[in-house]
Amino acid sequence: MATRTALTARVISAFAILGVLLAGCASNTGGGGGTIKTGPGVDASTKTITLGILTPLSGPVAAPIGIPLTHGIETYFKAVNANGGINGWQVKLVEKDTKYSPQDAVTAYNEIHNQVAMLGESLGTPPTVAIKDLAASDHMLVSAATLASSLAREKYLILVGTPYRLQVENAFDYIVNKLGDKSPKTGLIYQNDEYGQDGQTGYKEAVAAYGLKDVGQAAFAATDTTFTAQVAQMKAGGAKYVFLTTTPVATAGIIATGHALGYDPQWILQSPAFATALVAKQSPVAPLVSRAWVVSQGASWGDTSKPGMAQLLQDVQKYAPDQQPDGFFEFGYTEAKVTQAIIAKAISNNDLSRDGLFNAFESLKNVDLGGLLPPLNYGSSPDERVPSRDNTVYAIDPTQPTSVRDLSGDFTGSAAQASKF
Amino acid sequence: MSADVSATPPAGVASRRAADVTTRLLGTSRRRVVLILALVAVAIFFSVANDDQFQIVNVTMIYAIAVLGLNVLSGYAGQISLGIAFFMGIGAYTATWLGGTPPTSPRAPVGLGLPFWIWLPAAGIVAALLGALIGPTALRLKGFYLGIVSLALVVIGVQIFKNAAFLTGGNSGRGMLPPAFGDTPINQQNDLFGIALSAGQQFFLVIAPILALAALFVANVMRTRAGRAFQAVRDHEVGAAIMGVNLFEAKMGAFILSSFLAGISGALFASYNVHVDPNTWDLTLSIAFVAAIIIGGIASVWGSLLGAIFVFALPKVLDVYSLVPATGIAGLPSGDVNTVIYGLLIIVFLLFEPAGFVGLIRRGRLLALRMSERNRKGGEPTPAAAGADPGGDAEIERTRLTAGSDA
Amino acid sequence: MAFFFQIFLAGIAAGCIYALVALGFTIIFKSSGVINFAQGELLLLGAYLVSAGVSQWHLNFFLALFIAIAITVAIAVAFERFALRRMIGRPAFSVLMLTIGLDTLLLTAVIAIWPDVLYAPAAPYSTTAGFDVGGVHITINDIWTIIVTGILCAALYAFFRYTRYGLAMRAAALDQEAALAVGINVGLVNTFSWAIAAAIATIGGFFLAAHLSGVNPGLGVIALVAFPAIILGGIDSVLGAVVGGLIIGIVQQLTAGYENTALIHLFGQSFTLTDKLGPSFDAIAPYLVMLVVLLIRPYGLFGKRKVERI
Repeated sequence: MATRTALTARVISAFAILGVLLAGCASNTGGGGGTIKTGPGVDASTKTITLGILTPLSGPVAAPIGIPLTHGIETYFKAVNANGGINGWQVKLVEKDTKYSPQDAVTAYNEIHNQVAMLGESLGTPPTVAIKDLAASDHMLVSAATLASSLAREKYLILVGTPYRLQVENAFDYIVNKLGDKSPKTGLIYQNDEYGQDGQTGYKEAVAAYGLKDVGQAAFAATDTTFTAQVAQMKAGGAKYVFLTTTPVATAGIIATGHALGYDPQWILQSPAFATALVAKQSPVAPLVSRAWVVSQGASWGDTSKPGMAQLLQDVQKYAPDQQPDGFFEFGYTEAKVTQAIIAKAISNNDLSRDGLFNAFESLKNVDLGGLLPPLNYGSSPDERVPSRDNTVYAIDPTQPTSVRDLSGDFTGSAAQASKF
Repeated sequence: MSADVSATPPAGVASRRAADVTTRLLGTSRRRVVLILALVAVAIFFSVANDDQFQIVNVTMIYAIAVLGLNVLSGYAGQISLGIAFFMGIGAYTATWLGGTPPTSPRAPVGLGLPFWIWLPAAGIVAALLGALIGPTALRLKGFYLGIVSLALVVIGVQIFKNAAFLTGGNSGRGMLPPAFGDTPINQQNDLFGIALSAGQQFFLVIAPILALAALFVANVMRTRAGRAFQAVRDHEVGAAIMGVNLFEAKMGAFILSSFLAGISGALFASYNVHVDPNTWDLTLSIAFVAAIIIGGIASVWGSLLGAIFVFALPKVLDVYSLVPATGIAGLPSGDVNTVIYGLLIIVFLLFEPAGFVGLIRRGRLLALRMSERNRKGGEPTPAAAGADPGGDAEIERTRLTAGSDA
Repeated sequence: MAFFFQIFLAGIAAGCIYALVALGFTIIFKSSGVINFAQGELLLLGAYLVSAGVSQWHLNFFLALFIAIAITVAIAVAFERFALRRMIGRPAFSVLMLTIGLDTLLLTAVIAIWPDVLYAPAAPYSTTAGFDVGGVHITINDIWTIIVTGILCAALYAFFRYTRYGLAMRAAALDQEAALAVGINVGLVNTFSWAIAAAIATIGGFFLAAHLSGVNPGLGVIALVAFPAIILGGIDSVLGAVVGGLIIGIVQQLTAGYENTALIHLFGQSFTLTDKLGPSFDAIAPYLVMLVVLLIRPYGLFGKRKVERI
């Protein structure tokens, strides 16, 4: 269907004018030129590539996660476009609000799927899972802002970072191999959904691989009003380390309940279980959470020894001066770098069709992210689609810009190395 | 009439089939004119609409089938239910079981890959059977008790859907195939009898006739003895029983018909989205349907359709053709502004138009009727005006009953 | 055994919060026959206001609580006066939908005013403190929740039994027309019931936030769990709401405490509930209890069977 809405047409014509101006100065640096194969969302005459962004822009997830993460992507591409684009190609983003609901994500996907070359972002596990079959039937690459391992088994989904499952395994590798605490008593509290299940899979693998003494794996539901039952199980079993595959809201409740029950194990948080709001000054749980660890990845905000971080800070100053230090912003920025690498490779292959982008993605090796994340590798089998298997265990420290302090350094544990997807 | 329609082959398929069924409903020439105008409008839409517009219309039509179902149970028969999402889920999973991709790995959920014409009716039938099974227990309860028990059905249903991974794929959901013409699935561009049709157009061709049939069926049933029994039960249970209405049969009839339509709607929904997520079938969805029948018009087929448009299409229209600036208003993101506008619209509508959109239209028609009478100077009473529309009396009567009933 | 009592105590504390929510439903239902679907978001708003009062506006806790109650009561009363009052005589379904509209508006407003993922709860005591009694750890939070719920219930009981307004409310609940005939201002009674429900919701919201150590936009879903409580007790019974809330709280916590550890021996197999029914079975246990009770007593444990007249 060649028909487009009037609105889109207007946007495109505006870009056409812009494109003419830019094409003039970019023509000498441009890659393939007229022979390049194109597809939906790629306009060779204006050298414009349109990417879809499906993200919560309203509702409860918008302000804490959706908006900063999307700003990260926007900021990166603003910088790219201002510096001549990707080999002369400008990147345009079409953003749609998913409200973090799978249903709205499907609608939003159907609205934009004919206008975009690929999705530069689909935020959250439930909305991403909801559109994955549609995307596959369109041969549409989707860069997912979620680290659920099941994405590795989906042909067209792109993971950017180490999956949740391996985060859990690396955390226990740190305890057993780095700290030398052999066969400790451990437990897991997880939320009953796809994300929680991924944590549980990792936990079970870690128990088997490191000989942990598992005292229990307790689930909770979104409607739970108290966590006593879950925490009391950990306490009764005497778990020394308790891993939390939760969201920040539940993290606060669980850690506070533990303390009120006279139980303060070493809490270890999955990366999405932590938010800086947990250690805000007024929060009664701040001193308790400050004793917890969080497993994540990547450069700390402000660490200019990493060239990627230095560039990020420069771009923030220029294009998003109001941006506060924010882990989700950094994630979005990093995700955009991977998208950029895919597009650059597709341009050099002279094929910007959907299949061309897909081939570029599958053959992507050693994507240099300037230290924001270690170099990522992709491939065609599920195991090769897990782009990295390393993590860092951080101590939570409210005095730092993003409230975390490197504890373990970047490493890949033996279980994470061996894990099959 | 057929001459008018044959110019537009796609809509013609539906309408010619429908025409046989409708004859009894189309007593007046005015109704015929309205129908023809509507068909022409549909044909125009079909040939000029773009993918965005088809997306909104197709999804709204799928929902409208379930709205009709809920209107049968809650609108006509007066039984409060928040359980419609559960029966949609049952329909969706029946469809994915029969029509889903056969599993390629041991962990993949079951699927038999059967064609559309098997899984669609089966989805309705399985949902109806389950309705028949649950009905006798649920319908012992009255008013809010029934409402909250049906809510329990939804909560328990989601838990089952999340855990029955062999069928539902568990938390991550499962895939579903779209209907196919021959070997080609209709969510791709296809050539049909030499005409290139987009995915949106093909889905429209599948969904619109099903919705039309469902609407005609409901409209017809309500004109039969069974339909009148439903309404008698709603208006006065004990009175109906004394008049010889079998309360149990009437309630069960409404419950089963409603579940059937919900099942069909759920199956189409799964197939349209090519994916089913277990969390879809939750209370939020049920509440949206309740909103649709109340805003559209209780106990009215047209009301169901208008309600579906208001509840399911309007928010999307607000989003796509953003009347609200993309940057939002007063720091509120535009999505949230739309939610507020939408919430306010519901409240205002409920406050000022008790009978919903259908009431609004009826009132407009009544007004027009009075105006034309006044213009015609004669002081005689107006049998002629009422006689022009034999359905008119019954409809006014129905309005009165609906407004007065305490569901 | 200590584990059992630990969970049981948590169940009572959670049950008290359910009871507070259920009381709000019941009081409104008794006087006006309306199920207020916005009860959960009134609670949510109350929780945010208490939190904001202490940590953003730096007020004394009790002043913050008072202001929070005043605001939620004002909203509830305005809604009753200007919206619900126009709906008299309309189908119950429509009235229910109207309260859902209010629910949507309140939730959106809360998210717009307080966009962060969670806010610190405020309390006049330490929400993370507790002490040990024979291996069972009792938290200060649980104690205050139980005490305050008890006092509120006693006060409501006395109010309905001994005060003029309370008696008027009971009379209006029994028969609106008869109440009107003896000179009771039924409109005022309805307004009053909404005010009481909103005040209770705010207190419930404060305790819920204290239990979860954070105020977040999801707090309102507790209303869903309170539904089984009101049905269990009987929709028009104040005593039923309290008993129903406690039963639901205890059942839910005991299920959560034992579902993935306690082995069930059946048909020569040993398994846990989680093995067979999946994780978080505790989330639907209240609904199952409710269904069983309804099968036996279709009007709840304490509800009154209606006599049908032609």
